[in-house]
Amino acid sequence: MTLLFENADWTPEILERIYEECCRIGEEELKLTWYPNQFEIVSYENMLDVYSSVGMPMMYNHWSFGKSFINNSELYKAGKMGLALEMVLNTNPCVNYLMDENTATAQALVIAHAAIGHNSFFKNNYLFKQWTSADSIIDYLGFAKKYIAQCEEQYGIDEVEKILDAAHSLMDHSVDMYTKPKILSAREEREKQKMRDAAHEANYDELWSLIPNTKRAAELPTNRFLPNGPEENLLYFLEKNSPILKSWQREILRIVRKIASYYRPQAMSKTINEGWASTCHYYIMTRLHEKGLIDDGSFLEFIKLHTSVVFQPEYDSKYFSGFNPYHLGFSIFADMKRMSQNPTEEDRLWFPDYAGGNWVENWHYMYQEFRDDGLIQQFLSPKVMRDMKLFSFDNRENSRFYKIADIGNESGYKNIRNSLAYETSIGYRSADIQITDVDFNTRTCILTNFTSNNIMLDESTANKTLDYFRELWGFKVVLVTVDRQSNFELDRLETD
Amino acid sequence: MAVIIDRRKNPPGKSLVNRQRFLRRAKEQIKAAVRKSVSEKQIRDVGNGEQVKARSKDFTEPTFRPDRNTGDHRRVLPGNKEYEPGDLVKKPPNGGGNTKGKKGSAGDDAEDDFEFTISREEFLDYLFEDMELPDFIKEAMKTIELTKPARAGLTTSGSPANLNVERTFRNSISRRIALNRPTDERIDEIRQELAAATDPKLIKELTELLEDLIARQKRIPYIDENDLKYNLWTPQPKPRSQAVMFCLMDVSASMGEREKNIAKRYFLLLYLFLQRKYEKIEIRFVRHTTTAQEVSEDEFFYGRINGGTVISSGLELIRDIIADDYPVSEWNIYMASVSDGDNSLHDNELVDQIMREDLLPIMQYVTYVQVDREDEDMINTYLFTYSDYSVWNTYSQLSQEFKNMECARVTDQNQIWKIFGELFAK
Repeated sequence: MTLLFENADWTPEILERIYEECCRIGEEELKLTWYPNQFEIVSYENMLDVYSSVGMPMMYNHWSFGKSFINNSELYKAGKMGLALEMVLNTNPCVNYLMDENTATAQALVIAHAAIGHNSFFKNNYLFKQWTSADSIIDYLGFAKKYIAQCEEQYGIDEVEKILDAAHSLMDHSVDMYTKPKILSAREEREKQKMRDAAHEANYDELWSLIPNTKRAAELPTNRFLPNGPEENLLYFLEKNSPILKSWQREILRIVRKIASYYRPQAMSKTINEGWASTCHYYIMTRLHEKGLIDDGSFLEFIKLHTSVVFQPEYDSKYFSGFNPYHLGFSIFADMKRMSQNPTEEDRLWFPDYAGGNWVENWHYMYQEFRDDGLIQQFLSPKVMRDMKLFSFDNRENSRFYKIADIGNESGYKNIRNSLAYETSIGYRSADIQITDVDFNTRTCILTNFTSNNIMLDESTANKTLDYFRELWGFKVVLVTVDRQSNFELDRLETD
Repeated sequence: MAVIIDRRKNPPGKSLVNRQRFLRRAKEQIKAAVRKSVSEKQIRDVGNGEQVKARSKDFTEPTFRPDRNTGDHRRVLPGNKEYEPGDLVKKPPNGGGNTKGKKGSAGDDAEDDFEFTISREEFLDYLFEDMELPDFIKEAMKTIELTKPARAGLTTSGSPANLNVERTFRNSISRRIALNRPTDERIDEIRQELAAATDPKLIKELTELLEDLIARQKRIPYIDENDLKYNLWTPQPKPRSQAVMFCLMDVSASMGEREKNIAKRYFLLLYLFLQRKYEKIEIRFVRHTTTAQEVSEDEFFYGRINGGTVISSGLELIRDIIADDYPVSEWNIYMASVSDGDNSLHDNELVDQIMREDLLPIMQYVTYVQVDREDEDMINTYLFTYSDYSVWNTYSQLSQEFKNMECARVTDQNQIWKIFGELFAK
C-alpha cells in the first residue's frame, strides 16, 4: 500500500483519497451507512462565521449571533480559544467544514470523525430519525431567513428584533416532548403561511371590533380552563392563543420553535454522538495505520490529537469543567468492544447479552437506539467507572457538607450509574415548565414549573424571561413553582 | 464520491450584518468609549483599535433555567482519591471557585462582561455621528486614498496582458538548451540530407534520426508552463508629501475643561483630515499665556498655568519653529488655533501683522476657533467680543481677505466641523 500522504500538506486529491479509504473501512468493517458528504474547506474567518450562525450555512439575522461572533473572534485573536478542527451539520447531504490550517493527519481525523462518525449517527440514531428532517432543514432555513428579512423591511428591524428576543428566550421550552414533529418542507411552509394570511384577511370584519369587550367578558364562564390540557410548548401556545400578536409575529414564533425542535436531539445526544464519532475516528485511523496508509509519524500525531480530545481531568484538577462527553462516550464504546472480544467474569454478569458477542453489532445497537442518559444507564460498565474513579455525593442546600454517597465498588456501581444517567437527562438539566391555566376574565396566563428536590429557577433570568412571555401574551403572567410530588407551592413570580 | 468545495475564497463577513446588529444594540456603550478615547488618548492614537467594554446586562439572553445552588442534588464526579461512602466534605464558602459546589453551573453560559474592538471605520462613524458631521465631510474623511500600480518584480501566474516576454523566453531558451531540444533548423537540415541521400542504409538511419528528433521536439515543448513569467504589479499609495500641523491654544485661566474638550476634538478632526492626505504628519503643540512655549501633547491639554493672554507670542514662536525645522518648499503647513477670544490690549495689531506678513502666505490652511462660553449672557458677550480686547475682529477680517483662512465661533462641539467646510468641499 502506498501512503495517502507523506507530510503535513494536503491537496483536494489527497482529501479525496483519504475519504475513499475511510469510507472503505467504514462500509466494509464497521458496516455503516451515512448521508452523502460534502466538504467545505474554510479559513478561520469563515469558521468563525459558521460558529456564530449556530453551525448553519444560512440563518436569519439577529444581534445575538453578532454577539457570539464578536466574542469568538476576540477570544480567538487573543489566543484564548482554539477553533474546532471541523464542524458538521445534520443535513442531507451532510456538510463538513474543514479548517484549511489542519495538517493532512488532522484532516484524516476529522473526516473519519465527522464525515463517517457523526454522519452515520445523524442518519441512523433514532432521535435524529424521529425529530429532524435532514433533507429539508437548509431549505426551511432559507424560507425563514427570507421571511424574517421581509418582516424587517415591512415592520422595521426593531419590531422584529423584539419578537425574536422574546422568542429566543422561550425557545428551550418550545419543543413537543411527546409527539413527533412533522417533516419540514419549505414550500409547504410558505403555502401554509400564505393560507393563514389569506384566511385572516378573509375573516377580517370591522364589525367584530365594535362588539364591546365588557359584554363579552361577562358572557364568558368565570371558571378557568385549557381545552387541550396543559401545554409544554410555550411558543406553540403563544402562536396559537396570544390575544395580541399579529400574524407575522406568530409566524416568527413558529419559525423559532421549528428551529428549536431541530436542535433538540443535539442537546440530548452530546455524549453518545461525540463518543460514537470518536470511536469511529479512533478505529478508522488505527486501521489506516495498520494497512500502511499513514506512516508512524502521522499516527503519532493522530494519537496526540486524540488524547487531547478525550482528555478527562479529575474533579479536583484546575482544568476540570464537568464530564468530557468525548471521553465518557468513547470509553463506553471502547469498553463494549473489549467485553465483546475478551469478556471477564464481571462482564458476563453485568452484560450477559453483550459480553462475548459481536462488537460491530453491539456498537450498532448502541449508537442507533439510545440517547445520552439511556446509553449511560445501559452500558456504563463497572470497569469504566473504576477507570474513571467515579463517585457520587449529595449536595443538600441546607447542609454545610457534601456527603459522599457511593464510590466505585460492588455496592456503588448501580447507584452511580443511575445518578449519572439522571444527571445527564434533559429532565434534570432543564426546567419542566408548562402552561397550566388561563383566566378568561383577566386573561392572566399561569405557568407552572414542576420541580423536585426544591430546585428553584434562577430568579434573575426567570424574571426577565417571564417579561418576554408577557410581551408576547399581552396580559399578566404568573409563574408558580410547584413540588412535583406534593403539589406544594414553593415560589411565585408575577408580572404586572 | 465526495464533493469538496473550497470556500476560502469566499469573503468572510457573513456575520457582518449580525455584527452590525450587535453594535446597534451596543450603541450607547460604543459612544461612551469613543468619547473617552477622544478625551484621554493622544491625538495620534485615537481610533486605532478602540476597546469597548460591553456590559453584559444589556446583552443577556435569559431563559428559564434551574438554579443549581438551590435544592438537593446527587452528582457524580470523576477522580475519586480517598473518599468512602458516608464521608462528609466541608463545602467551600460561596460555592467556591473551581470545586464541586459550582460544578452544576459548568456548561451554563456564564454571562461576563466582555470587551471587543471596533474598527477604525466604525470608530469614525460613531465619532462623526457624535459630532454631527454633515455627510459630505464624512464621505471625504473615509475616502481611501488613491493608489497606483507599481512594478514589484515577477510572478509565475498572471493575466496574459502582463506576460513578461523577455523573461519567459530567457527561461524557455535555457530549458531548451538544457534538455537538448532539437531546433527547427536541425530538423530541416536532416530533411535536406534525407532528400539528397541515395544510400538505403543512410536513408534508414536518417529517417530514424528524423523521427527521433521530431518526437523529442514534441515531447519538450517550445514554451513550457514553467517558463512563464508575468510582471507583478502591486498597488502603491500615490506619493504623498508631508505635512506639519501646529496646534495653538490659549491656556490662560479663562480656558476651562469644556473649552479644552472642544479644542481637542477640533484638533483631532484636522489630524484625521490630514491623515488621509499626507503620508507623514508631524504635530507640534504650542501653548501661550503672555509668553509662548512648545510642549508635549499631555501638557498641552492638561497642564495648567496662570497668566494673561498675548496671542502674538504664540504666532511668533510658530514662525520661528517653521524657520528652523520646516522649509516651506518641503512641508505643507497647517495651523489650528483656539482661544476664548480674549487678548491683551494692542496685541491684536501685532497678531494681524504676523498673520498677514509671515504666516498666511506660507500656510496651506489656517483655522481659528473661538470657544464662546455657554453661560455668558448676551450683553456681556456682545460687549466683550467687539471690544478692543477681542481678537475676533482681527481674525474675521483676515479670513475675509485670505482664502486659506477660516474662523468660526462655537459654543458646542457639534459646531466645529463648520470650520472645515471649505477644506472638505474641495
